[in-house]
Amino acid sequence: MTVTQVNGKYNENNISSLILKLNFVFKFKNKGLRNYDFQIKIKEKDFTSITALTIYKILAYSLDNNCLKNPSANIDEITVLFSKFHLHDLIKAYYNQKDIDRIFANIKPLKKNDFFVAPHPINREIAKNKDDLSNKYYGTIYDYYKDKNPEIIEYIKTCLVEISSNFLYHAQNDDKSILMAEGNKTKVEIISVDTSDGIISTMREKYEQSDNNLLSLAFQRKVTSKIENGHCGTGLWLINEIVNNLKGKLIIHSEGYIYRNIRGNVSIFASSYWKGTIVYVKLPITQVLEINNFFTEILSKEKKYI
Amino acid sequence: MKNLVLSKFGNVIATDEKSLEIYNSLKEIIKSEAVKIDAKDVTISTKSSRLIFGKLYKELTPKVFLEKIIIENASPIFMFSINEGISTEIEFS
Repeated sequence: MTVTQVNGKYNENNISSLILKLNFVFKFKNKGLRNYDFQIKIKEKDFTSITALTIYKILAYSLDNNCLKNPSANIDEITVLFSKFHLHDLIKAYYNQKDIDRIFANIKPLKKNDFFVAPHPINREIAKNKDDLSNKYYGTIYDYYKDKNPEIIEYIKTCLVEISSNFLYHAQNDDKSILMAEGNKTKVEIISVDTSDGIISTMREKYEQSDNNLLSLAFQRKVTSKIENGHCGTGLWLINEIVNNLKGKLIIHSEGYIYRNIRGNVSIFASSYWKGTIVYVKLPITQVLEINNFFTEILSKEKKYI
Repeated sequence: MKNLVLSKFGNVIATDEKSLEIYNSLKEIIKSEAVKIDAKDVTISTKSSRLIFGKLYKELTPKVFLEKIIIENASPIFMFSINEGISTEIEFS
């Protein structure tokens, strides 16, 4: 029996250590290896949303791609951990390989007085349901911030829209990913984890540069591998500018590289391999005057069409 | 002039299907009259902006577009997105 033990505390700053423990499954596509055991021994208070989604996607990838055959795990303890994000039924369904689609489509937000957790399934079919998106997902965020800081809602929604739009049109072969928003009165965190083609592979379809440069290029305005398909190439640039102006945090892991923007300080470096893309955004709930001016100024300097 | 509350299509416009629905509605209205779009509380992706407003701008010509389509109650980032969609459509298609 090969045992993978996961303990300690992982967050956006050290998630590459967790990736390093789990990314062996990407090499086992269609191998159906037996006798694998996962022991997730993280304390509930240390179980962050980025950790939850990373473990969920590894489990989903392993089973959907027949990497591991009937892996065992301390599923009762894991289920309790995932209940923190309302994902316990989904984890159980995956582990038992039963009723996955129905439970995936019915993930619901969790609202408390001092915080909310809003996981949402992202795939093409579910995205067509405007009532589901408006009421269950964006409605949760709107309700929470409408009295605290209504003007910031537009920027939170823009990040969510551009991340999910990027996912829907670039990660075509991943239909079980989750976009998570988690917030309180001081900050909102947005996390998306997928195991489809990553940013570097996607950019390589059109540009010939080193992996490091391809990742950097993806954050430039009007750069996309799919400009002829109606895209603008503005999504990652826009998220990055929102993070810059609100002095937040943006961390992206993709195919062995990390892009890190901490309050406007950007770095790119090599890291443990993740097949696909992990996106983490943190926005402080702050005044929006500066960022409103930023976009107004762009419109005043550039050709205004409308 | 017809008034169109954009949020009736949802407070988020991001899919190709939704973009096409709005594009078709606008196209139908402007056959006979101008349209005033109320963009309050609506977030639009840059891709949807291009598919709706970029396409219409190109088809109608700038003069007719500006005569027929008026946008109200839009946030700076909404207007940025629309402008980005139009400029990309003009530049790249």
